[in-house]
Amino acid sequence: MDGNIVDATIAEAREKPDKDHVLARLQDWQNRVHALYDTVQKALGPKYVYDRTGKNEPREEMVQRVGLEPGEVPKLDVLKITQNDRQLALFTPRSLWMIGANGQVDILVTAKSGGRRLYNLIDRSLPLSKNPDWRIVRPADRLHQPPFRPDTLADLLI
Amino acid sequence: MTGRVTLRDLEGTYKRVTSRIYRLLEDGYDFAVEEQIIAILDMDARIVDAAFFVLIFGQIENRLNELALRRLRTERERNAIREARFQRRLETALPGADNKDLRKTISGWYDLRSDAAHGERLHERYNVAAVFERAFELDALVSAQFNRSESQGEESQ
Repeated sequence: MDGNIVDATIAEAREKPDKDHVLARLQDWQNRVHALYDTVQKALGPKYVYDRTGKNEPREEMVQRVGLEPGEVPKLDVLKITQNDRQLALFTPRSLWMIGANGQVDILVTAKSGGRRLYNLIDRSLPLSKNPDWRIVRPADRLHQPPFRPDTLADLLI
Repeated sequence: MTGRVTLRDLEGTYKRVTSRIYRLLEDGYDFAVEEQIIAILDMDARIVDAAFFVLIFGQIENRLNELALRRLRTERERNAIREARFQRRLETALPGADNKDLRKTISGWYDLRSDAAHGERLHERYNVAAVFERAFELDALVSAQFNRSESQGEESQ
């Protein structure tokens, strides 16, 4: 892969997709997303309840172009964080293939008032590089992409 | 506003336009409106991102055109290059083995830009923050060659 995430993802988008490569990308995506959840759970600690029984199965265009059947695609956990039976946050993998990113996970945070707020976690690492670079982004300020620090997540869950 | 639009101008415009779209999107989540509305707003944002990719590339292409014109000696050559396909303008602006990687990168951007401009790949998701960062780098690389050609007296007569 080239050294810049935009160039690398543009090059990938232009290539004829290869089934083995797509599967490797999907497996890497599952590993990164689940490692992200592990980090979040460790940072937030035992005062919250974590439910990862919900599953998300990527059905992006790239998956369909190489003819992967539903059973062949690595499923991704959806992470639900609750406290006192109240849902505080829901992590949902949104997209792996993007120009300029190595995947996006959405976090839907439920405020005590009942309103919901959306955040995006965008991985700026190179595809298959094994070193995620997660950034947290408010959709209304997408050009501002500071590094995601799981230890600050508790501040969003108030 | 008068005069030439720059990458910096586009960045400011993108920030203002998308903040409005995404505030609507956020309100959609905030007030738990129908998922369909959220999906429509998400699609709006993706189309705006694709449109901005086209505009951002236009800035790089404009810089390349200027450089290609500067490298040519005669008015006849310059008239011909104005009408030439992108690849020829690119090779004229960035000739030689030293520019091979840069040409390859910019060609990739051009292909993607053409797909978006012709109505394909409008569904593509973009991280436009990274696109702007890379566009500024590419613009600086092309501008450096422009300035070098100027100092070497390649300015056309």
